[in-house]
Amino acid sequence: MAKIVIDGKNLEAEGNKTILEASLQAGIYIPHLCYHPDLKPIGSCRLCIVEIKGIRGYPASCATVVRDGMEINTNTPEIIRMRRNLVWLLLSGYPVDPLDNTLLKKVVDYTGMNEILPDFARKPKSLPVRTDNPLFTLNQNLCILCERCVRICHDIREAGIVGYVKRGIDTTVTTAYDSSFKDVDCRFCRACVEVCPSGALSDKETFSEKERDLKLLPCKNTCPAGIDIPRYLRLTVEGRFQDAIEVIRERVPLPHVLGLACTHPCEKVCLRGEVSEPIAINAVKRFLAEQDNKRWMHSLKIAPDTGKKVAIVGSGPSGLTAAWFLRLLGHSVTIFEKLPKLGGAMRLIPDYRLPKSVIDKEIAEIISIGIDVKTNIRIDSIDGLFNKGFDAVFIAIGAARSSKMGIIGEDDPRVLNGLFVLHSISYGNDIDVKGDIIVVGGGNVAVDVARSLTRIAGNSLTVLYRRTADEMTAHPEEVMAAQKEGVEFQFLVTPVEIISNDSKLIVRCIRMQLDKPDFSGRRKPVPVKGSEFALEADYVVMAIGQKPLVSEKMLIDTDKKGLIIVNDDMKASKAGVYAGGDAVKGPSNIITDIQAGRKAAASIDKYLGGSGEIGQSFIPEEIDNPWMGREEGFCYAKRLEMPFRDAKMGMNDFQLVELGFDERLAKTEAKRCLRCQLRLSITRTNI
Amino acid sequence: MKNISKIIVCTGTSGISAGAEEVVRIFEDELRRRNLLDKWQVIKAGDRGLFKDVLIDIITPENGRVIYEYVKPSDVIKIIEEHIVNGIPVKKLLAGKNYKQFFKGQSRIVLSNCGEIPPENIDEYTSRGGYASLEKALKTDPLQIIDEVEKSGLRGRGGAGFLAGLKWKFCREARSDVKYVICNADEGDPGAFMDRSILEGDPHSVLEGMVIAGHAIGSQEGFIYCRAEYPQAIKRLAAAISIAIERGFLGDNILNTGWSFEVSIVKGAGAFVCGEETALMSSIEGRRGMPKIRPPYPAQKGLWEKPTLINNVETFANIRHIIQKGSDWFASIGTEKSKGTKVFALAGKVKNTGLVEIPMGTTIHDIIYNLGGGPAKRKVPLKAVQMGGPSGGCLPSSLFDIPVDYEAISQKGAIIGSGGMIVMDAKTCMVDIAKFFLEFTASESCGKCLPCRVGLKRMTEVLHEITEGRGKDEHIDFLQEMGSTIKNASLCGLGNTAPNPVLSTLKYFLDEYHAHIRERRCPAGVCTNLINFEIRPDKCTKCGKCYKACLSGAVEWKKGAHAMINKDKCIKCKACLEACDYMAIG
Repeated sequence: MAKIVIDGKNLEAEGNKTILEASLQAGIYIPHLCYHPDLKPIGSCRLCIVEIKGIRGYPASCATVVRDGMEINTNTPEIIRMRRNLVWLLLSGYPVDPLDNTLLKKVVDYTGMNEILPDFARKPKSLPVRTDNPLFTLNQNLCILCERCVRICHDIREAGIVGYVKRGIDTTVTTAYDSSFKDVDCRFCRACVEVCPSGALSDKETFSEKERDLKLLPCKNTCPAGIDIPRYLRLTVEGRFQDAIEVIRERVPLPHVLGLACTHPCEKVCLRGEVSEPIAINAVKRFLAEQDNKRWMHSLKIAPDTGKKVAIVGSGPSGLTAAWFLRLLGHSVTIFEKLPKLGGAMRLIPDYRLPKSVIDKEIAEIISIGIDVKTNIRIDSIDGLFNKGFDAVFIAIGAARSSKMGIIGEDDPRVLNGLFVLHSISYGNDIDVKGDIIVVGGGNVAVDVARSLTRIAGNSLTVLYRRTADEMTAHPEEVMAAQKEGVEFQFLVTPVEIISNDSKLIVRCIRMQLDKPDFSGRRKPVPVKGSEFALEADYVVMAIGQKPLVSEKMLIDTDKKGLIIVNDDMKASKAGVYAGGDAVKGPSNIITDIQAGRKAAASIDKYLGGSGEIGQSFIPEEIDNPWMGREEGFCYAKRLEMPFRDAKMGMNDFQLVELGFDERLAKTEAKRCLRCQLRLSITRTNI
Repeated sequence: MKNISKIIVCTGTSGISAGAEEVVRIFEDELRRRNLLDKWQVIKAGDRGLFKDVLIDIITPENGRVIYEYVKPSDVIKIIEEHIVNGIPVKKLLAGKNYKQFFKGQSRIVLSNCGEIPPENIDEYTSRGGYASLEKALKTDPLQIIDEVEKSGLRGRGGAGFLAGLKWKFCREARSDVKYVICNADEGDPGAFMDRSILEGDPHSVLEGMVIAGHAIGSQEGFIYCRAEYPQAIKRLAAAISIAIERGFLGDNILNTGWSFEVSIVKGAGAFVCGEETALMSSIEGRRGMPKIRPPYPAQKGLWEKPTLINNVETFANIRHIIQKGSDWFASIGTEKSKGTKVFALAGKVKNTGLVEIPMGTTIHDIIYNLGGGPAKRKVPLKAVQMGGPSGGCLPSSLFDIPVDYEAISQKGAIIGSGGMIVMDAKTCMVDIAKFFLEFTASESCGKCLPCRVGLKRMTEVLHEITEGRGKDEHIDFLQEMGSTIKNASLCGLGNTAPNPVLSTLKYFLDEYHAHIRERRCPAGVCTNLINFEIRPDKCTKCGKCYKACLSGAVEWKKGAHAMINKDKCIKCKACLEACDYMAIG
């Protein structure tokens, strides 16, 4: 510790601190622009100059280390005068008023340099504004040449993308030969944007303070379960696959299922997509799940028994997830499932997408930590559970009832419902479906039905959807795969009547057109008058939606669609009863349901007297290496394509169609990551 | 061999540009043709630092040394026939009294070999005591060498004037396996060329100094950072390095001591700021040449973050003399705080211009009048001297009596710097001069720190306003204010000194600024916009020189009458002003 005096104030500062650091720490502000806590000081803006007793001249406080006995003055008349002159010079070339919420603005306000400069001194720059690259803009007119961007890009990232060109008053920050950022292999980590104190470098998309994390690190913050995607991608690049899978397991107990069947909303928002194409995150996740050697089981911690009992009704992803985390917290957990096997709606996903063996493997892992399972039991009464000694109940019964269209002829035995078809295939029951088949609907169930049926029956398979491909809730990749396998899609068509003929069904249809957006935000389809036409089919499968089957005996409130009403903590209308998943929100996807299970587990734990903190970390936190280096052609590296089985071969059986990444593909793909998370660990200075 | 007669031709850059190589070729051809080559040796030496076109010495036992100046290739045959064959010097070509005057007052130590010996010939160098100092140093304890250098009082000749011995000591004390020695040969001040002359004329003296320094601080590697605009110097240095390695003065196992020291040449790419030591090191590292904040000083963390000793060419060239003759000898020359000699590049409005090496403490007056021979134009009085190059200051003639001494000069607002000395007479506009230097430094500012980058530009703009007739009183306040801010707040020496020409002219020649601003008049007749191009009858001597100089027929003059300028014909070329010795045109 060094004893120093700043502006007459006696202070103690750590011996390796600079005067500026010590001063700021003590709440004495010294204006500065080029100094950044994460960067080596260069003392180029000269605003932080101070006077030190016994030392000649005006040293920059950012680069002068404290010494015992130093007497420092930050605000002598001479310093104030020079500082004002310096800011004055800075503004003499500035084309606009300093932008709000920037460090520059703060400095200018502090020095009080708001008066208009004499006309002989104001010479605004007229330099290019570079908007030609993704994600951020470089407006050289606003640049104050503090070199922060250059330093973080060179010294910390060691990518060396931006640098100074020309000299003296003509100095600018730009890329080599003013090339596009993509052409000089910019990593688009946007560290430069983060440290820019003037707004010369700025994000293309503006956002509020609240949205910051979401916009800067969208993958992790869009994932409903909040899986630390950037972290496991980095571990993948480093070849630390067990570490990587454990990062996923911190948040979810079904990584392999997700790797095969997640709708990966993360990829939609992946910022790599702005540069070239989004990272194939889910394919990497699947690869990691395939490498899982269960090392995590050794470090898995199950809290001591709490003596509390929780009943989970339903064993889909939300039920299983809640069971897992509640058990880890030491509660005694029992899963009730009305069907013979656990898994809920996951089991309806055809094997070519999600093999039953994967579901069984991961469910076995979950129940292996000491979860009771009661299958073939249908729970109607919640009170019955409480009477049996359960302290809390989680209703996760999914949405197992197919919706009906309500058109004439829908009751014909050759008109089937989608869930029935998938269920029968899933449980190996014979179903008598053949010939020309029409599937009605635009969700995943419709596409699963179509793709499944192409494998076992059918001459022709046609999917009718009343809107266009863009509005389909089925995953585009699934739709594309179906098309590859010969499924025909007719968009903007809806059946209005099914006429039973002895040999065939005549499906009378009408064409639709899109009108204004409806409550779901999608454009509402309306019939086109006089556009009726007829199709022939041997079978029609209706897959237009599902609803939960909530028994009235449960005595919990449901809305008019039959969905269970819960509050923000997922608590239903009855004490100790929580609900989540498709039974609350309607049909969605596995990752959303998993998050429902996580949230319910936390709420139930709190209800049972716990902290509500779920999950555990298997590997210690480590500081993310901020080094990036340079990689030729980085920006143009395309998303690696998932290897497929031959479409013709794949059509004859239910083997997995997507073959998955091998180690090389997984590492190569993970390496394309922009590592957006690194920006969040930079100390913020613009507020 | 001993009785051989010598013809020394000065073939430095200035000699070559005046045709020295052609002169050498004709001498050699002609002597060969006449079968005289066994008795006559033609020696290509470096320059002596004064502009007399091709200079040659002919040294014979009979006539001793005879010096010729302004020799043209066409004169060679005449010299051979009359002097070499018949032993009668060619009178017409003999060096005149200016030459003698120029050298008389000098005490050449670092320049002693320049223009005397063939720079590439190591034997000539060793025969004049070269590398003896190295041999002596290698047998001496490094600490003792440093002590000797320190006691000599030698100060860095690059500009700042820091005690060389102290620098060496800091480097010696810095703990590191790897240390570097750098010779700063990025001589950038306009008009200064002493480093070039030393490198071209006596490269071994610099190498010897570097090797001694390497031994003293414990280094194995050295660099010479030489500007690429000095191709001759680089060529001769490279030749000197290879022969020195061959003879064991450099490279592996120097003089069988087991110690090795490599020296490589790095070419500077033409940035003035790379003469600043930290910028220079960045440049060697392959980075943009921009200065770094100090501390840490190069002696602690320099090139590649290793302790680095960086000295200027002239500093290194002094070392062998100090080692050989001792610190007491060196300290006996000069003033109390400024020891030894200093080479100045005397330029401007004096009769003799060139390199002068004088003992510290010589007065400016002595240099200008005794060596320089006084004003170039007898009738136009000298007004000022700009010392220290673009970052130096202008001292008025009233201060010519002060001695050349680091402290004395800087006290008055100029610096010794690398030794630039530009003499100005009454026809030099001090505002224009300030503008000239500021434009130079502004364009050479690296752009790193705010005051230098923007401030110099803004000051230049204001000086343009003043010299172009749009000056305002507030401009003077602005120049004062910004000048002192830039001087105090800049990051490196370039910015710290760049305002000096403005501040010193404001201090000593404020009346000229006022004349520009308040009277819209340039007293020296330089700023075109402020000249009326009228003859002032009170000053006109009716000599008619303006009439003869005018090429556009604008000056009307008849013998015995005042001249007149017809403004319709005048193209404002200022030829009349140049010609007038009496400042009669304004």
